[in-house]
Amino acid sequence: MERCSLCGTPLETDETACSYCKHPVLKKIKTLDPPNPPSSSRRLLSFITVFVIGLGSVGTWYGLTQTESTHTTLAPPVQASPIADWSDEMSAYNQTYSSEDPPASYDVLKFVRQYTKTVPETATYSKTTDTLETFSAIQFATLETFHSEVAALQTIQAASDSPIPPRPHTVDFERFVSNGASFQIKTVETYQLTRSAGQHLVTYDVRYNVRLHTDHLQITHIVRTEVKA
Amino acid sequence: MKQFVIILFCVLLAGCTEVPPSGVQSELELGQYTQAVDQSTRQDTMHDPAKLMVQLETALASYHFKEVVKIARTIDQLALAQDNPIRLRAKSLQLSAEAMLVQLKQVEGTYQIERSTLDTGLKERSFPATGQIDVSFAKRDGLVATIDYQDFGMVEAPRNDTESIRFEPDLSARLALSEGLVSYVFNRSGFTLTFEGPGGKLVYQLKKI
Repeated sequence: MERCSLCGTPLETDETACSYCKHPVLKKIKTLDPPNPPSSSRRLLSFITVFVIGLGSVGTWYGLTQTESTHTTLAPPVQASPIADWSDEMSAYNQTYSSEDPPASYDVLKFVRQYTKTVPETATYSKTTDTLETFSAIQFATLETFHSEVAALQTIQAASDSPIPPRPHTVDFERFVSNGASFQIKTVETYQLTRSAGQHLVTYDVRYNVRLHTDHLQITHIVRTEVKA
Repeated sequence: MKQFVIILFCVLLAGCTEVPPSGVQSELELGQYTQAVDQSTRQDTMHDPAKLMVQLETALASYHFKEVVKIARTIDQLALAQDNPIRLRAKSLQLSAEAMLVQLKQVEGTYQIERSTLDTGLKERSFPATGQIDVSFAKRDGLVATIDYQDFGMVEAPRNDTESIRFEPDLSARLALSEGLVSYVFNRSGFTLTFEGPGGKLVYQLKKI
């Protein structure tokens, strides 16, 4: 039962003022509180909300950070790479590069492979009679490297004046790493020499250092070791 | 309730934080696989694919086509998106290497002389020639061919020897002689062997049997 807020007299249900002190009865605005959901449902609701938003956030983060698109489920049609892309049809020596257009790793391999074709000619170099500029190898390498090659190619040099000059046979790339601005390449190179007794192979373990010099690739160091059969 | 809203807001903010693009990614897009390997750690998702691409390109530069196909298949098994540049590049090189292997298989075999001509520069005439040539390519060094001459050449001086020739990917080879040049060319119609020297040009056109 309600009572008067001033004098405490019990009030009838619909009275507008206290029957004793005439103090007006202020009607309470009765707000019906919705029944509280059971705590387990509330927890479930919170969990679903967090899960959905979390999932959305992870999705957004992934989309922003991953440049490769995963939305494509079908593989695009792939064409075979043209032979010109990986063969020696185009001269690697003439290629120029910049910071916007740096050499791809395969460009470096191609550069070294094309250099090996100049090796038999390098072996014919004579300090007394030849002009250095006429040798193709000098376009690929530093002067010191050229001279170190001339010194290391004695076996090929000995066969240089045979009717069939020495020629590259196989170039196997064994190791290829980058170290910041330079590249280290290890190859096993075989050159074919033709002597009166027939064809003969000479093999070298070779280590190259290649760097980007201004706008082109340049071999800065070669360690060539003949592999004795 | 208030705390819950704050936590949700933080989660949303964390989701929208932009991570700077990886340097490795740009290296990969430029085909600089060695640099990508150099600049990444083993934990990076693209470290292993980049390393495999270096191996693939190394095999390709050595003209080891079977190895190229094998490595490309390994890359294809990696958990990369279908349109990932590494996967596409590996696939493209795989197709090229497979086409090369098919071509090498096709040109292997025994050839006999169909036509033999001597061009002296003044006139061209045919001359009698004899014999066969057997061609086979090495298993590992795909472009290295063994050419076996069987009573081949001019009737008065046939040759019976074997030589090993490294071909270019277009299936041609040019070898310098002290006085001249020899060229070997495989084409659709067969195999052409040309000796160029001071006396003129000796051409053998051979047909596969």
